[in-house]
Amino acid sequence: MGIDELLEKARNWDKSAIAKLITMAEEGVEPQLNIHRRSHVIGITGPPGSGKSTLIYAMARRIPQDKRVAILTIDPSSPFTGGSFMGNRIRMQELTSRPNIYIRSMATRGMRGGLNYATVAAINILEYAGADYIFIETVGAGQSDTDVKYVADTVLVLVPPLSGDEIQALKSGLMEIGDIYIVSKSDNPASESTYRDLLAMVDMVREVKGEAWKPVVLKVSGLYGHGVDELLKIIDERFNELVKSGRLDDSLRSRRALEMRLYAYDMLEKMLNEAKDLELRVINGELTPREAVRALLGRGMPRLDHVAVAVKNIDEAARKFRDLGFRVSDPVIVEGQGVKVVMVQLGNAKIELLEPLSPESTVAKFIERRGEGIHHIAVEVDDIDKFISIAKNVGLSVVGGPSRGAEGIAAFIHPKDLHGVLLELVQHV
Amino acid sequence: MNEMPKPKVIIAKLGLDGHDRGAKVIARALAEAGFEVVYTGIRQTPSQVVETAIQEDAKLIGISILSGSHLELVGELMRIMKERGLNIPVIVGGIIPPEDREALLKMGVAGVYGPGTPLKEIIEVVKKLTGVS
Amino acid sequence: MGSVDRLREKYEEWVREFLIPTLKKIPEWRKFATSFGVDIKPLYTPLDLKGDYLEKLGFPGEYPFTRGIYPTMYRSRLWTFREYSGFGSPEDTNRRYKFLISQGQTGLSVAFDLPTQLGLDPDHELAYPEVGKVGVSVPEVVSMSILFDGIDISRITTSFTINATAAEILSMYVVVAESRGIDKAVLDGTIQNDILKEFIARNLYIYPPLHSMRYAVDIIAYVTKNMPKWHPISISGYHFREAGATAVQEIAFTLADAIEYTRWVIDRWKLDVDDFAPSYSFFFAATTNLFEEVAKFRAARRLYARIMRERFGAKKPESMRMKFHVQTSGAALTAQQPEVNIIRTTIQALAAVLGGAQSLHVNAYDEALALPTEKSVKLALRVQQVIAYESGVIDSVDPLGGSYYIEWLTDTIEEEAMKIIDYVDKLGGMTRAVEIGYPQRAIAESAYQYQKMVEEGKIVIIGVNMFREEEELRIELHRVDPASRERSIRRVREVRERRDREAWERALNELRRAADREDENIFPYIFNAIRAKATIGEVSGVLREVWGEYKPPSIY
Repeated sequence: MGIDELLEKARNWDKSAIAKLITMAEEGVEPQLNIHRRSHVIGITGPPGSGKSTLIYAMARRIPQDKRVAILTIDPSSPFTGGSFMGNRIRMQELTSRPNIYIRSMATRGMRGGLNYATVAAINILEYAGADYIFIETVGAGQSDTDVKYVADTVLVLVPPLSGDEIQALKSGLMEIGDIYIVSKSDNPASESTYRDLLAMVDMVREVKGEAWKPVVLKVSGLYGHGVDELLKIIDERFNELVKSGRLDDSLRSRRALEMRLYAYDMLEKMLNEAKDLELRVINGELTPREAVRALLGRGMPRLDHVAVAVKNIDEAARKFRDLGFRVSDPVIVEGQGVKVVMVQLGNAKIELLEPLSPESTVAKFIERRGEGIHHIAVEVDDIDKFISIAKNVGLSVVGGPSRGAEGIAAFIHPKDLHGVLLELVQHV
Repeated sequence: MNEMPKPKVIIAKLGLDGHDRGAKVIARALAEAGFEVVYTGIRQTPSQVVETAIQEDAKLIGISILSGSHLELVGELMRIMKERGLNIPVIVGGIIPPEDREALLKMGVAGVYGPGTPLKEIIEVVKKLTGVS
Repeated sequence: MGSVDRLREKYEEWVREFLIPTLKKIPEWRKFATSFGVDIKPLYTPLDLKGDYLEKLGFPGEYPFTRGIYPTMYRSRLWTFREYSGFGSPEDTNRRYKFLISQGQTGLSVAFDLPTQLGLDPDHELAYPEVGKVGVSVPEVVSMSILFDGIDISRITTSFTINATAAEILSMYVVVAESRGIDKAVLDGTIQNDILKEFIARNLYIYPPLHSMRYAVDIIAYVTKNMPKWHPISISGYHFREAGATAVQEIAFTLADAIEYTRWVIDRWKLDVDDFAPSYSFFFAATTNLFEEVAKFRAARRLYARIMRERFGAKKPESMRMKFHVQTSGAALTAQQPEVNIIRTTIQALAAVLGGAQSLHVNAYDEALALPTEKSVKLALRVQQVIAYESGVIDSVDPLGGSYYIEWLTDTIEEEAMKIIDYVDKLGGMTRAVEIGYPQRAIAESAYQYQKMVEEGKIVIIGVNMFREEEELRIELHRVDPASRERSIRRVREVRERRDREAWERALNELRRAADREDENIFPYIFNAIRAKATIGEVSGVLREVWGEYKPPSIY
C-alpha cells in the first residue's frame, strides 16, 4: 500500500493505516503532512512509578466516545541490544477495543532516551488523522523528558509523595515545564505535604513566568478515579483558552523545530556509530577529540578547508583581520615553503595568510606576477589517494604531492588545468 | 551495540488465567535479544490481542495459556485475525497436551512450546518467523 | 583455653591441613549457594550456631515455636492429607472427592475454575472457554450443595482456594450447611481469602487494592466472631514461589502480608490481636531443595511468633503459632520424563514433613501436562502415606533441629527475610507496595535470573537441561467432559429463573448500598444475596459497579 493511500485511510481513523505510517516514520520515512491544529497534545511526565499509565487510562476511559483519543507511550530501549520491554499498555488494555482509541508503544531507540524524532512524526500523523486528544506518556527519567514541553500543548507533571528535599531536587527539572501538577491522592501523609509544597512553588514560578495560564496543582488518584473528572475539565478549559489566544500554533512551530533537533541527534548518533576509524584515531592520539568531531561532521563530501591569501606584510594583514573580530593565530615560519603563515579561524574553515620570506619563494613570485590576493583554495577530502586518481583520470595534472605535512597529506592541482585556480587537496590525519 | 531495532512482537496472556511467570520471562528474554516487545498483561480476549497487534503494527504474536482453554481461545484468535486481515505468525506456549499441539498447528499456529523449552530456542524461532537474520 | 577456642583452633587446622590441600587436588565441580544467593560452606560446626538455645529454639509447642507448634507433633496427630482437586461440574468433582476419601485422604481441598474465582457466571462471554477447566464451576448455591452431596461437612475439614470471591463461596457453604441442619459454628475449614498475594503473584483479583483489603478484612472480622473453628484466611507464599520468588522472598512477602492484614483488622474493626490472629493459617511451597526448605519453614515459624508478640503485643500462644499447609512446587514439575516428578515430589513432601507442616498436598506427576488423572492423584496420596507410615521421619519431633547446617540456614533465612520485611515497612506496608509494584518487580526479577541460570546450566533440571531424552509422550491424560460446561450453564440459568425475584433484588440493592458505605461489614450483605440465590457473577457484578476493577501497574 502506498503512502498516499495510507494517509487517505488514516484520515478516516483507520488504525491499521495509522500504525503502518508510524512504523514508516520510525524507519525514517518523512511523510509530507499539511497539519491544521485540532488535537490537544497532552504530555504526561513524572518519575517511574508515579502512575502515568494509570492516569492516562483513567482519563481516556472518561472521554466521550465520539472523541478520537490517541495514546503514545514511550519505553526505554536497551543501549546494549536496542530491544525494549514495553509494558505500559497493561493498564490500558481494556481501552484497546474501543473504536475511538488508538494506543501505540514506542521505544526511545537511541542513546539519548526520552522523545525521538519518530515520536514527533507520530504526533503529526495522529493530528493529521484527526485525533482530538493525543496523550504522550514519557519514560519518566532524565532531562530529555523535558523535551515534551516542545510538542505538548499541555504538560501534566505527576509528583509522587515526596519529602521537602526531594521536591527541591525535582524543582530544577520538572518544575519549569508543568502546566498542571498532580499529586497522587492517598492517605499517605506525605501526599498532603507534597501538595502544599507544590502550591507554594507554583505561586513562585507563576510570578517569574508571568504567563497567562496559571499552573494548577491537583490531587488525583488514577487508581481509584478520584479527581479525574475535574482534571479533564481543566484540560479542556486550557485547550479552549489556547484556541482563543491563538497560541496553539506556537507549539506546532516548536514541534517542527524539535523534530529537526531530534532527527539531528539521531543522525549524529548513527554517524558516530559508523565512525569507528575516527574513534580509533582519537584513542591512539592521532586526533584530538574535538578535531575528530569536526571531521565527523564534515564527513561524506569534500569541504572547504582554507583559502590562502598572499600578502606583502603579514603583521598588517593579521591586525586588520583581528580588528574585524576574527580569531587570528600567531605567525609561524614554514621554512620549507619559504613563507610566514597566519591562520584566521572561520566557522569550519580558515583563511591562511602567506608572506614570502625571500624573493625566490613561489609566493613572492606570485605577488610579483599578480599582486596581492587569493593564492590558492584548499579542499579537505576523506581519501586523498582516491581523489588524486579521479583527478588524473579526467586529465588534470597533480603537482607537489601527495606529501605529508603538518596538517596532513596534501597535493595540488595545477591552475593551468583549473581556470587559474590553484587547488590544494588536504586529507587531515 | 546499537543494532537496528528488531521487529515489534506482542506477548499476550489469553483468557482468564493468571500464570504470567513464563510470559514475562519470555518477553524479557526477547527484549534482551533486541526485540521491541509489547507485553499486554493478563486476561486478554482474542479480539484485544488482535487489536493490539494492529495498533502496534506488530510482526508476531506470542500467546501464553496455562488454563487448558487453548483450543477455544486460540481458535477464536485465528478466526478474528483472518477476519481483520491480519496475517502475522502466532506462536503458543503453556501447558498444552501433546494431541492438542497438532490441533493448534492445524489452525495455522506457527509453533507450540511447552514447559522446559529453552529461551534460546524461542528467540531463534521468533527471529526466523520475523525475518531477522 | 575454653572449648570454643579449642574448637576454632581445630577447625582452622582442618581447613589448612585437609580442606585446602584437597580442594587443590580435586576442585569442587560447581559453586554451592542457596537459592537466594548466599554461599554455602563445605562444613558447618557448633561454631556456626548463634545465640541461646532456649531463646532461639526452645521446645516444640513453646515460643518461638522454631521446633514445631505442638509439643508432640506427628506422634499425636499426623498432618492432614489434603489433595487439591476440582474440575468440570460439581457432579464430576464430587465423584473425585469420594474416591479420594476412600483412598485415605483426610481433608478436602477445592479447586475452583477461573470464572468462579473471578466472579463471572459460566454463561458470561469471558467465562465460557474456561468453565470447569482448572477447577470446578460453582457459580451458585445449588452447585455447592451438589459438590458436597453425600459428604458429612460437619466432620470433614475443607479448604477452599478462593480469594476475590471468598465471601460468596463461604456464604454458599454456610447456606448448604444450614440447609442440612448444621450450625455454621461447627464448620471447620479454610478459605484462602489472601488478596494481597493475588496482586503480587497469582493475579486473580477483581477490585482495586483498598476495596479488596476491606473485603478480605471484613470476612476475617465476621468469621472470627461467628465461626470459631473456621480459618478466614490462609496467608500464602506458595504463589510467590511459583511465580519465581526465592525461599527468602517467599516467607518475607508472606509475613509482610500477615502484618498488613493484622494492622488492617486492628485499625478497621478495633479488635484485639488475640481475638483474630489464632484463626490465621498459612500456605507455603516445598521445592526439591530439601534442607533449605526445612530451614525456611522453621525460620518462618520463628519470625511469625516474634512479629506477633513484639509488634502486635499478642499474648495468647495461639496468636503466635504459625499453622501452615504445604503444596509441593508445581513449577518444579517437568513435562519431560514426567515419571521423574514422583521422585521430586517425594523429596518435596519430605521437606514439608521435616519442616513441621500441618497439612500437605503432593502434586501429581502429570500436572505439567494437564489436570491429574485418578491414577496419578492416587499415587500422590500414596507418597504422603509412605512418608507418614513407613519412613520413620515422624518418630521424633523436629528431627533435623540441632543440625549445624540446618540451624545456620534457619538463621540466615530469617535475617535475609527480615531485611525485606523492613523494606516493605518503609514503603508504607504491603498495600502501598503492591500499588507501586515492588514485590511484583522483585519476583519477576528472581524468575528471570532463575531461568537464566537454568539456561546456563547453573541450575540442573534432570530431563530438561541434563539427561534429556527424545521421547514420545504416551501417558494417559485427564480430559474435562465437555458436557459438564453445558450442565453448569443450564443450572445457573435454572437458578436465576426459579428464585424469589423480589428477595433477590432487595438483597442486591442492600449490598450495593453497603459497598458504598465504608463503615459497614460487607460480608453479611454478600451472605444475604447468596442466600437469596444471587449468582457469583451478580454479587461481584454489584461490587465491580461500585468499586471498579483493578488494572495492574507496569513493572518494567
